[in-house]
Amino acid sequence: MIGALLVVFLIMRILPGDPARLIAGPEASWEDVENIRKMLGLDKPLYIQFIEYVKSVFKGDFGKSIKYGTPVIDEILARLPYTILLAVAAEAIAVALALPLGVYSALKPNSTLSRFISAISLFGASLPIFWLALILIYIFSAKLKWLPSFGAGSWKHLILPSFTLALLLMGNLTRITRSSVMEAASMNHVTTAVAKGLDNGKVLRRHVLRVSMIPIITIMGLQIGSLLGGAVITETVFAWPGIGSLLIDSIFYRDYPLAQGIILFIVLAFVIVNLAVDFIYGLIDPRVRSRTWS
Amino acid sequence: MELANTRYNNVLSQIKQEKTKRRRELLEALRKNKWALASLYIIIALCAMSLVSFIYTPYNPFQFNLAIARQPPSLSHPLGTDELGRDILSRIMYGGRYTLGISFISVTLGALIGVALGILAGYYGGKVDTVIMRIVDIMLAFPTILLAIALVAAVGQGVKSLILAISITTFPVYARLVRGTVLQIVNEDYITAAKLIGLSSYKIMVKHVLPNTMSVIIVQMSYYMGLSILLASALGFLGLGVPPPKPEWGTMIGGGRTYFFSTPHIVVIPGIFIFITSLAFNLLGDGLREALDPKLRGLLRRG
Amino acid sequence: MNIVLDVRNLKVYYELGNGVVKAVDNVSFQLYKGEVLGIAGESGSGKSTLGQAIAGLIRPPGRIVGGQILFKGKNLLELRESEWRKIRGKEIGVIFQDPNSYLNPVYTVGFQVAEAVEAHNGGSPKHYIHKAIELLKMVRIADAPRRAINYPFQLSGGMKQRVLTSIAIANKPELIIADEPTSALDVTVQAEVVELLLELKKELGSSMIFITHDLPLLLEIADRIMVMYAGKIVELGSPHHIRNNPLHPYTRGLLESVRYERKAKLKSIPGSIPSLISPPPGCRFAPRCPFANEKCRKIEPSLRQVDGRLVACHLFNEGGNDGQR
Repeated sequence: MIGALLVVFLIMRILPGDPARLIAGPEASWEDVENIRKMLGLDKPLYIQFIEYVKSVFKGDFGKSIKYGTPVIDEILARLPYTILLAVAAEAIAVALALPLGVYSALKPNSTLSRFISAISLFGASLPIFWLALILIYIFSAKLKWLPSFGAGSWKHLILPSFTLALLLMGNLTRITRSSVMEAASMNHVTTAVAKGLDNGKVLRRHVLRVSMIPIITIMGLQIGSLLGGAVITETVFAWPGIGSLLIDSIFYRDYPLAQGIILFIVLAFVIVNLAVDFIYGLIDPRVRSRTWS
Repeated sequence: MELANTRYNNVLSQIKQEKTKRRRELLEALRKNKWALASLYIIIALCAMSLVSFIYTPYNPFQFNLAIARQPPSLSHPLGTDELGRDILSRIMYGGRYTLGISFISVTLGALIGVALGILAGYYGGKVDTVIMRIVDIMLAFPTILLAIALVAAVGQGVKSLILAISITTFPVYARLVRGTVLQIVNEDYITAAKLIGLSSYKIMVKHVLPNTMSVIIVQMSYYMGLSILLASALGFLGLGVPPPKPEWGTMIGGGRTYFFSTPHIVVIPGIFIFITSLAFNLLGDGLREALDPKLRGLLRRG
Repeated sequence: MNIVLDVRNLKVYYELGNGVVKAVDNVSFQLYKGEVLGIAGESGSGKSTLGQAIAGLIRPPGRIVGGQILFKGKNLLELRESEWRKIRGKEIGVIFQDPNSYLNPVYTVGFQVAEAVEAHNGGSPKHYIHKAIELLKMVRIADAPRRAINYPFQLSGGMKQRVLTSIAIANKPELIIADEPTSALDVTVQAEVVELLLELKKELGSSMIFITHDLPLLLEIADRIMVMYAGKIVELGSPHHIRNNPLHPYTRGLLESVRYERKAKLKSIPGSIPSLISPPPGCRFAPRCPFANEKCRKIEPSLRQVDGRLVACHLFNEGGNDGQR
């Protein structure tokens, strides 16, 4: 965790260009710049800066945004719900579609539908998301006029962005579901279950699917990263007011505190979510449970 | 001592025989896989196109002419003109240099760093291993796009930062993969024999450990080529990658976005190229992986 | 009925990409009520496939291409899947080889044993937890109630094997098929497990097919021993006959390779099993047989009665040709 903070901090401090001068503006005198520098604490040696920064982060103070003049944290929190909404919707769609499709193509690997699904998954991994988003906008918004193309006014506005983001995740998820189920189905304990005389439904549910969930959940956890990254792009294309588009904007406006704050926030959120995923793991696989809590 | 020497030489010749056999099997398997072969041809064609752009393009990719802006594909401009009247075909040809070039360089760079770290970690073990792997773990935890965005935000736009960003985001996976293979090999007899004879660690690593990891590395590199093309173009689209007026394919899409509804071809065409290139590398990676070792299925990442 | 199982001309083939593997090729034998029939052979002999076929566990790419399996008079191969499910786990119980992979890692041991009962009695495994504990006690697992809520990874290999056993006998099957039940265990534990199996068989009044590569073990515990090689039966007789006077060269080779007298040298049988995709014509063992002659390489020997048991070898046909003993 500290490592992650360090990385982010270092990245931001590598910035060429002088933040103090930028804030002060090109006409300010040398003294003014120096003053601002002192105010921002930029004149102290790097490691002191870092420590102060960590302290303030823990207090919840991410610094102030240059552009808006308001605390970074406020800006983030204002737009955070949108991103969460988008992410949750996208993940829900992806899971609802990918898991059944994956299971189906694992159990009936040679049907035409399965082969089609595999082809689509492959395509999904090669498509540029932003391009796909634009094309979807073209089809559904411009031509068919079914859905609005940008902004976040109504639930209708949510459909295209979340669907696009879901498509990004689905390719991989379907593939992993398929291979995971296939592998679980060929495991020996399934033979034991069959030898007991259990009917197919029970064998499937208890011995194949439950066991195959383990790698699937792992991948879902790992995908959170792609989800966030994809959200950044999706929000930008659809002008969805979440923290992803805020990040891109802040970089363009050279609003370093804001950008740094957002990245930091995302990283923190990421770490927390990963911990949560580990926890869910423990619920499903008892072997992990004893190792973690022993 | 004598025993170690003879053992070593015996195993060496065995390995050599196996390698030639494996190489032959690999070429055979590749040839059989239609998709992989087709992908290879497509990649070669695209590279050729980009190289040709050094000598010739139908029009100057940077010359704009607002009078003929946003024209759909026609005989004189087979792919149409973009929002500033520049010929899209020429821009695609020229832009291939960026897309393919940046990807090749970054993937190779990432591989070099990652493989080196992986071999070091696996071979020396102990503290070296822990430190390197801890760094790798932290980096693996980051989402790639975000890391790239952060890096570009810090270091600024441009080709160099893109290469840096992509190399940094990709090296961890190699390190992990290679380390795994190294750990397997390190305990085998011929390594111990080599050590006994007195070969320097460096030589051992390069001559023996490295070749065994090659197959895994090459497959991963192919996948990462596909990924880095998507990454580079995504950043270009966002305005954080190769800056306009340079015709990187992603940047072209970003530029044409305003007029998208009226003249979609400006956006659609570069996207098609991105898609085909990325798809080709993914298929090639699949083919290579099947040809080399079906056992590896679980370990590799498409991104 | 004295004959529990009557296998006739059974053929089980695996259809793979590069050919058809004839894992079990025209095997016939009978199993009498209450006996322990040992099936011995090395890996690839077809013994496991045979066991699976009897339990109806052959799945693609494996296929039963011919023959009959008469269990208590009914041909199992004509059964529909729904009828099979009534027999599997109830009248035929299978004990598997590797206790580590044959138990589901995410369910408790008690649940999995209870499942075996639930399969034929309806309801849910929760209803049968008491029965499960009883079964665990029957296979001599100490502290059964506590063990029942353990997960497989918390048990030792021997205990897991006992759990597998309890699953197999849960519904008092008439036929117990034990597929290499000792192969994955330490030597010390093996003896206990075997003893347990024999006792259970007596208690339940079942018949048992004991599949293993460990021929000396079968000499101790089996009533009759069937030696298989490359998908065929090569010898079938009582332990007395096989120990003291093994006829088939392969049987002899097997015994000689495990002689445990301290002075005798271990002799292994040179060569390896032929490819089962296109086995050589004639006797399958001919390439490795020190006594093979031209006839052996051309014509496949059939099982004949010789000296109180069945042997498939040209050396013992027509009473002659057995000078090289």
